[in-house]
Amino acid sequence: MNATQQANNLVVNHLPGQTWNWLKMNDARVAVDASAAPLEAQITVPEGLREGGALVPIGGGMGPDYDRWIQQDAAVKAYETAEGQKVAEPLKLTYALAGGKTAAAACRIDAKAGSELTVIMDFAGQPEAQPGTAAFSTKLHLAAGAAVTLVQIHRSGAGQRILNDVGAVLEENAKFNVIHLVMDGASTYVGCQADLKGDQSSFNADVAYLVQNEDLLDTNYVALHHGKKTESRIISAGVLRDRAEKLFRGTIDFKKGAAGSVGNEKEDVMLMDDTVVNKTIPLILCAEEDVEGNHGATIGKLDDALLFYMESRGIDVDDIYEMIAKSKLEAASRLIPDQAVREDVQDYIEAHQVQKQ
Amino acid sequence: MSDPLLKVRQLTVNVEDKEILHQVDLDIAKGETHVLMGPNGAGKSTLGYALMGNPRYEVTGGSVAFDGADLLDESADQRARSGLFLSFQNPLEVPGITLGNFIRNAVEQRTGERVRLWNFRKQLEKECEILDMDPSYVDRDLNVGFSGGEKKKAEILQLLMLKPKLAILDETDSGLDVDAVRTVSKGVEEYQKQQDGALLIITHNTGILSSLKVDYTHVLVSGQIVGGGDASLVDEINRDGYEKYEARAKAAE
Ligand SMILES: Nc1ncnc2c1ncn2[C@@H]1O[C@H](COP(=O)(O)OP(=O)(O)OP(=O)(O)O)[C@@H](O)[C@H]1O
Ligand SMILES: [Mg+2]
Repeated sequence: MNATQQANNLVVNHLPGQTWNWLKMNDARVAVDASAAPLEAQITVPEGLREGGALVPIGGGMGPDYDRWIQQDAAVKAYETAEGQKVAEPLKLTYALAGGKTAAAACRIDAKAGSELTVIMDFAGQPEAQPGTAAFSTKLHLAAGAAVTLVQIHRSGAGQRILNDVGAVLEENAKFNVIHLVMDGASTYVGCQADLKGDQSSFNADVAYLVQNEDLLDTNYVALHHGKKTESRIISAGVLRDRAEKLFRGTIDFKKGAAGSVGNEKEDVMLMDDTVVNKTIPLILCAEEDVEGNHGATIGKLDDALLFYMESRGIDVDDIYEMIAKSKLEAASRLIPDQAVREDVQDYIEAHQVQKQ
Repeated sequence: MSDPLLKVRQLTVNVEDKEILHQVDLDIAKGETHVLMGPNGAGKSTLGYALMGNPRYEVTGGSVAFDGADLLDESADQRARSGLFLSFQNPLEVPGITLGNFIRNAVEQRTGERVRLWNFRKQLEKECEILDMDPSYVDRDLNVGFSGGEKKKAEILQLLMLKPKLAILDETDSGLDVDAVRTVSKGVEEYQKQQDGALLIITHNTGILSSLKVDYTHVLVSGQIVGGGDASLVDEINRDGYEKYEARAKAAE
């Protein structure tokens, strides 16, 4: 069957615009099984949050190829808030990945006007997990004035491949916050797109990662500014070591009519070994004159003087690297709004031995 | 008599292929307080760095024994774990790692045991009080945005927590106001009393010595030790300058 064959090789994380010629950086190709098993979560539904809600199709950062593929088999959960409802406790979805057969899960959030919700997804691994692939799709609609924070924690263990797609459409004055913590995973693909459709809507992404060994992190963050006076902010901080590879795509796309909009992206990456591969593609597209887009990057190595200062207090080089790597994750973990999850993640970071080679 | 804690013999040190220290001899016994003076550029910090094991400072001759072991064989972190401490003339900023976490890690390395958080926290607070430091500094990133004086106090806080056998203080008093100098001097005295700790204090002033009993003063000029004496030498140099010693250094060349 033709569809099956196509599904075996997906084009994901494609940069907006076709004209870019960077070799093999415009998009990523991932080979996947033609079908997947539905992946069920352990779910804590906060009081007052209803299941249901209907969403029109919403694009994500991973792209249409991925959407088509994951929609066939994913276990779907859908929730909706009521108008003006401030949901006090977070909606928690915990996935205990066992590996083996490819598994897929989708989540849809319909946030009604003026409502507030926090969603925490924990992509955790089972202790004796087989290598495997887990695929996720999270699509959100934020009606006027709605505010949603989405926290996704990648800690499935060293053997997993994770495909993670997020897409949101924001109406007037809506606010969408994303916190991504990538702590491990053999290869991780994250696509995250926010369509700032309504005037004065805003999108904020905080990304922190540690990529080590031969692991790969391939990301695609996209802010589509359609409405007037919309704002986006994409902040990424991470550490690469050993032979890790990271590709960060960050696009701020000002569409015609997005007058008065502002977009900022900032990357701060620490390279711990000469053998890492670090690629960054910041892209600011302007079809509108009255906009402001900024990009900043700090790419650092641990400097010798700093290293000696820390060593002189009795900490050996490996531990210094580990402390610095953990510090980046810890800084991002402090943004997790739920105390229990935050502490759990901090314990995980604390216990997480950065592998020494 | 038993061997001194630190025994430096004919130590010669290069920085970027230039010889900065020439055949330096120095003995410090357990619990003693030594002062090292010398004009700017004499090589005082170089001696501190070389003893601590900064790889940019290349030892081309001589030997250093510390607590019976050959110090020059060890890396900087090993030297620290065996009880040597250097308070930096210019402490570095470490973004992302809080002062408290940094000290906790260092203490665990030094003692080889996991610290009990509650006790650790209590002890930190106690030492902060001695140094007249707001305990909230412990939760700030190490030295990031600290004033010059606060950085120096943070160094002494680490000294008090790490309890080394020998501490080299490289101009810890520079950049401190009068009250802070007195406070830091008390902190150093505390270290000395509790640990019977030895000190090598690099300074241009007497303030930091106010709470301490100085056993010996050394004068370093142009990379050579050209004189020594008791505590009174500090005042004498501050009155008369280094002229006499510079002549000696010239003659030795
Ligand atoms: N990393 C370095 N690179 C180049 N030269 C250096 C370096 N470190 C020290 N030197 C040189 O070695 C000499 C001794 O410097 P050192 O810092 O040890 O002096 P000092 O006695 O501590 O002076 P001060 O009282 O000003 O602190 C100086 O001439 C200095 O320029
Ligand atoms: Mg100096």
